[in-house]
Amino acid sequence: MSTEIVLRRTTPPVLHQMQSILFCHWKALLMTFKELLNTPVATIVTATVIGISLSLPAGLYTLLQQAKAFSSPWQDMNHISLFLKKETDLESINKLRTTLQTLPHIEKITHITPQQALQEFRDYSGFGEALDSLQHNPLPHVFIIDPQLTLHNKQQLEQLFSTLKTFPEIDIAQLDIEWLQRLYSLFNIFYQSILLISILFSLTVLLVIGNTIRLNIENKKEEIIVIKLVGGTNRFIRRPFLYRGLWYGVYGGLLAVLLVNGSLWVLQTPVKDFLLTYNSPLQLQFMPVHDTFLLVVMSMLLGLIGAILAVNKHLHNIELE
Amino acid sequence: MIYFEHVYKHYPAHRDALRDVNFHIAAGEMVFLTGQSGAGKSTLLKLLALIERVSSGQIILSGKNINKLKNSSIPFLRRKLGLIFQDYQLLMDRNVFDNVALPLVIAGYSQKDIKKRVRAALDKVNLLHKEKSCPITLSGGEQQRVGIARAVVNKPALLLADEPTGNLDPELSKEIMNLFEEFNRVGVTILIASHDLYLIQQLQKRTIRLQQGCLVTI
Repeated sequence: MSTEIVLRRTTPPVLHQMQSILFCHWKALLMTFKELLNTPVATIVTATVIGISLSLPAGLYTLLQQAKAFSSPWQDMNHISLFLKKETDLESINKLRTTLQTLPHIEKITHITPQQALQEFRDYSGFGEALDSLQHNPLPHVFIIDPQLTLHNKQQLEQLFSTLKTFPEIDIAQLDIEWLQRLYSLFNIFYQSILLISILFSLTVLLVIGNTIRLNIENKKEEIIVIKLVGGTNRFIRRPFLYRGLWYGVYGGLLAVLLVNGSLWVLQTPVKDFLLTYNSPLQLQFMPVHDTFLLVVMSMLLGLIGAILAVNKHLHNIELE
Repeated sequence: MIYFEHVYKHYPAHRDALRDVNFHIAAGEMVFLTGQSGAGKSTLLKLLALIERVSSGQIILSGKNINKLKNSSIPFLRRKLGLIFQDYQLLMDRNVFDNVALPLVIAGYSQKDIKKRVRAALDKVNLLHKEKSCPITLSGGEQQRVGIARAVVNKPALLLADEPTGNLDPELSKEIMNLFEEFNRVGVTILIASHDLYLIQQLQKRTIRLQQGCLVTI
């Protein structure tokens, strides 16, 4: 044994230092993993709170993404439908058609006669027998106007729309893009709401993990004091708590993935039935791989940040007596 | 090795715990620190381990003023000391081996070194056969020996013991003191705070006596 104290940090070779630091991290990772398994109930409760908090925004986001994908084929359907007045005769209709063809910005005009419309309605609506009882066809002639593809500017489209509205033969003019625009602004509202919900629930996760780590620190007070007394650095003391936060995040994230996919699985049959009424073969999909990965990583980060906040706040309160 | 120069320690709302304390302990000495409860024995040891800081004056340890040490350097000072406590300060949820290994784990020793050193330390305190036991199943004397093994496992040059026999009967106390004497014989400097005057007289070592924060005998 030496008889003199050398008051300087002994610094082993860099490689040895690196190895020893990595080993310390690896040990802390394994130790906290085992500790969490040793208290399964507390771990499951914490992970469940995190999982539920994250599954709500993640689930809503997944649903919305799929609703958007489902509606995207209609994105280019910016038709204008012109419903003609009932009393308009065939001659005026043909004249109107010729006039319309001279207008700029019109790509194509489709004429649907009342007979065609009735047949289509009979085929798709399921009211076939009820329609048979009608004495005469109540449907008007309809022109479907496809604007030129270059006409994607909303203002130009509206200008064309208001020109078309002025013809006396036209009863109702309808710009079909409007409902799509409404749908998309609705999507936008949902996205913003999900963002807000995500922020609130992320805060919840931070608070839950922070509080759990605070309790862990309280429980390990004796150990922290002993470690300080035998020369443990703050970094050494912090490390296991940070890994604890990380593990809570991983467990919570994985649970959220399970919850979201479980809910999607439950919803699959009713959604399929619903989509079939629109003749759509589409099905509800599970969470995509990259979203799953992102969710778990986010959860892990939240766990780590929560732990850092808790450790910074509460570790200083433990003083040696 | 240790110089106390005009050391004062003042706690807010209390009288001074230490007043103008001056003494010197040479390397390789074994010294007792005595005095009644509240005389300032524990405070003096805490100042040496930088658990507390002096209010004024200076403490020189191996030629260095430890009060100038930054907080971030304190752990590295403590690794050079062996601290022994009246209530042992063992971790009850870990076995004897892990308790003794703690300072080495903190200092980043390899598994191989840790095993070798812990076994050597446990052998010195005669507890090698108990390495797998939990501290709670051990007697008070055995627990204190675990505490001593943990203090010496780092091979420190200075051992500080605060009432190490305070909870033990005279026979066990004698045993513990014999252990300290053994360490002292191989060159370790030892400072023991104790109010067990009978035991101290038997050992015939230098004694520093504190009374109400002042040094009475050096």
